[in-house]
Amino acid sequence: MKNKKLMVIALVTLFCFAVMVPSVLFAKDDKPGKGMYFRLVTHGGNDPFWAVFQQGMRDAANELGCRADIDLAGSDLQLQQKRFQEAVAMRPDGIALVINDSTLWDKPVADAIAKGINVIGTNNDDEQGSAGNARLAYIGQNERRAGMMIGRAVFEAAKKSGKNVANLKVAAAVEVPGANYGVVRSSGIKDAMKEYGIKGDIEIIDATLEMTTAESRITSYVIAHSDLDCLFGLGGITTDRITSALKNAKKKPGQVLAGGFDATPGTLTGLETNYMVASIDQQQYLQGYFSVYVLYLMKKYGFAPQIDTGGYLITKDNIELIKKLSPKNIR
Amino acid sequence: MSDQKSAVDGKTAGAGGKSTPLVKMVNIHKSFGKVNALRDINFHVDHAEIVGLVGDNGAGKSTLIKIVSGFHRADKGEIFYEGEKVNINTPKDAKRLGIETVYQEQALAPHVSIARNVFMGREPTKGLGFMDRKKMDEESMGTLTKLGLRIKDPEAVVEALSGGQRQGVAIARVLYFEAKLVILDEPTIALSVKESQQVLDFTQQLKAQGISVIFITHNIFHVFQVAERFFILSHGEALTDVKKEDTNIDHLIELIVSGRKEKK
Amino acid sequence: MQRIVNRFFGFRASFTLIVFIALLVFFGIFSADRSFFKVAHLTALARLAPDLGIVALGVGLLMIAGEFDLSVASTIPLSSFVFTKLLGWGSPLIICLFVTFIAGMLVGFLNGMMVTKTKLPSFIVTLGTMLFWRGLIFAASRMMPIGIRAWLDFGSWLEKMLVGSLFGVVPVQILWFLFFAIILGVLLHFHRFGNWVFVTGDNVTAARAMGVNTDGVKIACYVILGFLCSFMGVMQNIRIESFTANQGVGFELKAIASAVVGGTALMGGIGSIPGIFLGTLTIQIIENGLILMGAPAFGISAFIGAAIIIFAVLNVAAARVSGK
Repeated sequence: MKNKKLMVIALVTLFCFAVMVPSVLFAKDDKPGKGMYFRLVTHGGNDPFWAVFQQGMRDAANELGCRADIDLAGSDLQLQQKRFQEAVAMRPDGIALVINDSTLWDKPVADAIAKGINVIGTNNDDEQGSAGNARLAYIGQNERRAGMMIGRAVFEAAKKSGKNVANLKVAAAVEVPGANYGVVRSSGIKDAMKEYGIKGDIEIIDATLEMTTAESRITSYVIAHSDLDCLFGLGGITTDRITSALKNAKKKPGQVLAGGFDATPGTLTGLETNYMVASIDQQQYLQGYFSVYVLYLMKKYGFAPQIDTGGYLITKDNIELIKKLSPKNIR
Repeated sequence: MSDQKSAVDGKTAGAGGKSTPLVKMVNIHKSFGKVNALRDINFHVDHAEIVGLVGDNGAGKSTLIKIVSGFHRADKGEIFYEGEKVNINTPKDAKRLGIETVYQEQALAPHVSIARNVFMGREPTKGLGFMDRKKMDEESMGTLTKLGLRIKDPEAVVEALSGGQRQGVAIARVLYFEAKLVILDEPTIALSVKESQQVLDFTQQLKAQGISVIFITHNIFHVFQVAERFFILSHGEALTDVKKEDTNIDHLIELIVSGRKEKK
Repeated sequence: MQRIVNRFFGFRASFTLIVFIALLVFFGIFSADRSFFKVAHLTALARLAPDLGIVALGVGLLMIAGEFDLSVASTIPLSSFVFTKLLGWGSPLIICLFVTFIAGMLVGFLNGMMVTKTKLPSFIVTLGTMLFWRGLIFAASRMMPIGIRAWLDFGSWLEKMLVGSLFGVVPVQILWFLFFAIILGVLLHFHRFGNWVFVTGDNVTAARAMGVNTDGVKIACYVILGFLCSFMGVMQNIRIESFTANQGVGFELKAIASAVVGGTALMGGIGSIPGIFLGTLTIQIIENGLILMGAPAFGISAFIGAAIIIFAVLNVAAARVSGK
């Protein structure tokens, strides 16, 4: 009889193990962010910039095992506000908001936080930072600073090549004249101009969104202004076409120093062939990525950091990595 | 146009009033939805004959000729051509038989040249589909002259011609393509006195060439000058079919206005 | 002399020719240090203007037949996308080209069928298809440009044919532009199909009454245009070495403007290939010329718009004055 009792105890123990092991194994598969839902309310649209931002968001959500959705209000401030209210009503575990206006968002954000929802800023911030808005943290790049960075890179190259810095003739091509991105970035370049003591103003070229038209107009401009020293592209498309335009205008590399934004094929070629000095990778992948992570950590532990995703200067030297990652929507 | 060979012995041009009519329409009925456009119409046209098809608006004149020219199909009834029963289902069928229509708007392209208009859709080619422009110019000028129209330049754009001249071009077109029966749909509308006379002259020319004409109009005074016979329609019914010698203008007007069949 | 020019160009186009020459002289004199006639500018013009020009030829042809096609702005990136994807899958160049052209023609065929069968205004129908294809492309590509260098080596035969230079100086693009202009010109002005195009656009009921297959003619024009768009899409793709979702944006209206400046009537039935050829170049030299003259590069679009309006008005006025 003792043997039978032993057998029963052994069986029960075995049974318990058998039940425990899978549950331990399964528990191991539970990702940390499981069950959490975050909402990113942005003014973005269907363009390469936001495609990368979304990739970052998605990768972070996959890693954490949580759900994250994005609103792309496409520069429509009214629509964006509506989306924000809808997001608040959903009571998510956190909201990341693009704060593209210094006054409009003050109250909505404060109210949301009062309701107990974590709200952080991403991509764009209140001009007065945390003094102007109640958002609990900010993750992003400064467009103006990016402009200044590329300005510096180009002007430094001009200086090194022996040009008279004070008299540099500077122009910038933009896809949509008057659009926010162009205005802010060009003011960053103007900051750099001031720094280097460059007299004169920066001339803006209306290039349109179309590749051939942009190339044609930039070419004509360069031909018309044979004394041009520095040329910037304020957006991905204009930057892409600068190299061809310079070639069309029979300029040799280094005669006109060029810089711009993003890493499209034409721009990469320009960097490799010395027509372009540098281009800014905005690293918006990180903005999407860290927005999700910060919201998660904030929900879990209450962390509230300030993260500067910076601007990354792509030059001939570090181009290889970019080339590999560009097709994957990572850079 | 070998389709036109008929079982009965051939007719010669200019000898109107042969035993077998060129075209005979029997018991024609046509409705559009609930609207009865034509009811039991018996209509015929002899060789080299000018028939005036008259009636007020909505009488059914347009519908009748659209049936014979292939734009509509009659709900009931038959059509005989040169004594033989035929099926005219498309405009191309009608054209093949030699039935051509000259419309109110002349079916001309205003910004295109005369020559190109005359040969619209039937351009002569010299291989691979390239137009024989020389032939187009020569032939169109030739036909216009035959009609009595004096236009110097076949490349002139139709828009530059007067109303009467334009009708001339449209008629020249059907003449060239050897029409046997020409339907003129309101040919003198909006034309001046002089231009209207021109058109009436053209009509006579057609008969002189052995071609039959159906002359549709509101203008009794115009058609009375050239037609040999009058067929009056009112609200889809035939009021009368009378030879010119058996009637006069007042009589015809009275019939049209009253809208009632004559008691014979 | 006047008659020969009129005959060959059609009246309105000869007016365009006169203005074209006048503009050449004007910009030649007033551009900053005569830069208008510098080789750099002329070659740039010859290389870039045909992008619009090849498409404008097709758009103008269709307009003469009486219809519009706004979807060219989307057919171009669509063709570029198809071509790029095929390259990425490793298909031989010839196949890539072939399939891309078929795709363009199919899009054209679809447009043609919809316009002729629904009897809706082509402006609306093709506006719809333009948005439809654009949305598809944006979604499929996520708006990311795709470089083709990874699959297409420098100096391939296709590259030489589409973006090279003859004798190292004359850009191949202008030769292609001329090539298509000649083919379409001969077709339109000397072939009976061309007559059908004219009469279909001028008086479609007359044409139909005379036995012309007007629906067929329109569909054919749409297919031709679709092919031209795909050809140009590939040409542009190879020149900028990538597919970009923004290719062709705005072309639909610029092409119509080129055709109108070249003497094509919006209502149909009037127009000529030489006119459209000149019209495209005229618009391009206005754009370039103004920049070369030092016009504020910021508001260049305003100037071009004004120039087009003035031009179109003058064109119509001149035609009226001469009684045609």
